Amino acid sequence: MSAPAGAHDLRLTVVRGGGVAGIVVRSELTAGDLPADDHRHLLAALARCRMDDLSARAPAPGGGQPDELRYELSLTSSLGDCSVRLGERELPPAVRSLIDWIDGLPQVTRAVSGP
Amino acid sequence: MGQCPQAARVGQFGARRYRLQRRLRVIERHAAKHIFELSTVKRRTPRALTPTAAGAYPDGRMDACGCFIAPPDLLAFVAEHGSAEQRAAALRVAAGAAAYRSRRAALAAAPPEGPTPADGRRTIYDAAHGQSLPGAPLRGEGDPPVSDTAANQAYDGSGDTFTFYRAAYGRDSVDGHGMGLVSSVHYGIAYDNAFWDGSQMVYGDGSGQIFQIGALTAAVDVIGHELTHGVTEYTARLEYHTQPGALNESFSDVFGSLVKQRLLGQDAAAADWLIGAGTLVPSLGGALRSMKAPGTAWQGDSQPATMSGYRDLPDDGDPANDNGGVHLNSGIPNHAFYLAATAIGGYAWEKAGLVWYRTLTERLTPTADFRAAADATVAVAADVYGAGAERDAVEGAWRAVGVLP
Repeated sequence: MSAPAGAHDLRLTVVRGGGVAGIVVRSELTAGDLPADDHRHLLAALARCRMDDLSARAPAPGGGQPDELRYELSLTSSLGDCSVRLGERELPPAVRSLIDWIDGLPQVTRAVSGP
Repeated sequence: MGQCPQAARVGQFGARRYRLQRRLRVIERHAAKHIFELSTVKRRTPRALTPTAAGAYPDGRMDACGCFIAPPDLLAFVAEHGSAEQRAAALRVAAGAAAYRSRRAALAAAPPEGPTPADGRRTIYDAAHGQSLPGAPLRGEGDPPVSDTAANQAYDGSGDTFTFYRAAYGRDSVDGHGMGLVSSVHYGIAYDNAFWDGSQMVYGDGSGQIFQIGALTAAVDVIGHELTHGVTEYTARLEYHTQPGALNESFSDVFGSLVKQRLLGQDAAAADWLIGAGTLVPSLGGALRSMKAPGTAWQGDSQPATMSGYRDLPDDGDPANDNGGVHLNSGIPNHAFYLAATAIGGYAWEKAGLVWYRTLTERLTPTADFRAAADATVAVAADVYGAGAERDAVEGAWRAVGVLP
């Protein structure tokens, strides 16, 4: 099975902000940079995240709990873009697993800044 | 003769775990295959189709909201068409999601929980790198130290904060009525945060990339900061966005620092006025914030010290905008407290701290802005100390940071 256009140029960006530090961490990953097994794992993990369902439960601004982390997940590819913002308490296990997995990948580029 | 790779992996993880990993891989490959297929289908889909109220198109596809990866209700597909093992795995995941939604709905519908009278008794739990709170009990009030360093640090730090509030201001725990202090350590995997979740403290271990491993429970000012969020929740209830949110953050920094200063026996001149010193990895910097010199604590620190540097960030849910700059603009009231405390002199928790405490617990409303906080602290200083040096020091501090004209 070969991946169609859009699977290899898929780019995932996870922005994490807030927390006790207020530090913003931007992690970026291009699917095409991953070995085949990790590439498949990424796509399956993204499917489990069900981004449309997530966008429906995204928190309203101003409703944050002190020092909770906030996240933005963005997908871009030649097939289309989408993005979702979530607070710590809105993170389903599948999304948290995806974020934890990405954090351990050597192919991820990471930038740290203030708000 | 060398061991084959599969045998080596079985030896490493155990046969049962290896079988589970293989099952997961099968499901993942199945999922990836259908992402490819469905992403292609999505591109061919006429946009004229209208989804139903439930989000499903008449032909069974799901509303994509312009997002190509979303259409497949993949778990449902696997549950219907996959092998017995795949179906079982998919149903487990789906059940977890349903339980999550159910728990969220229950939490949303439940009335606010009242205080738990417990005379500030501490209980430390082990979240065991998961997200279920509080976890398994590790240490209770009066128990001897345990072998878990983070648990002992959380126990000691919450006790130091409880003692601080009682000794300095006569406050009986977070809620003022002896609320038990619950802490969970080892939250999440390499989790870079500590937070107050509305009813308890939660500590991650840190990743070693942002926070040093084990540093969050070691910093008593971080513990004091988080528990003060609880105090604010039971008193002024400052909204967590823009200026009220920056005040919320600042009061936590003020009393977090004062917990540390009192523990160390430092007066205002001797204190370092840093928040979370030594918690970040050294390549990022020495502390999270500096009340003495905002904007200098770590390499990305851009906190302003005065209103001339105030940044009006939107409260739009963007994690980069930090609820409208609550950790950014808190540098201004933070610096005002530092200036007031050092101008008054002595132990900062005694006079300046008392003024800020009474302001937080008796004067402010949830939407208070910087000007309201400045006016209230000046009024409280006059009430407590009369029209003297203390009042002048407080007013002068707010003038110096540009909040008062």
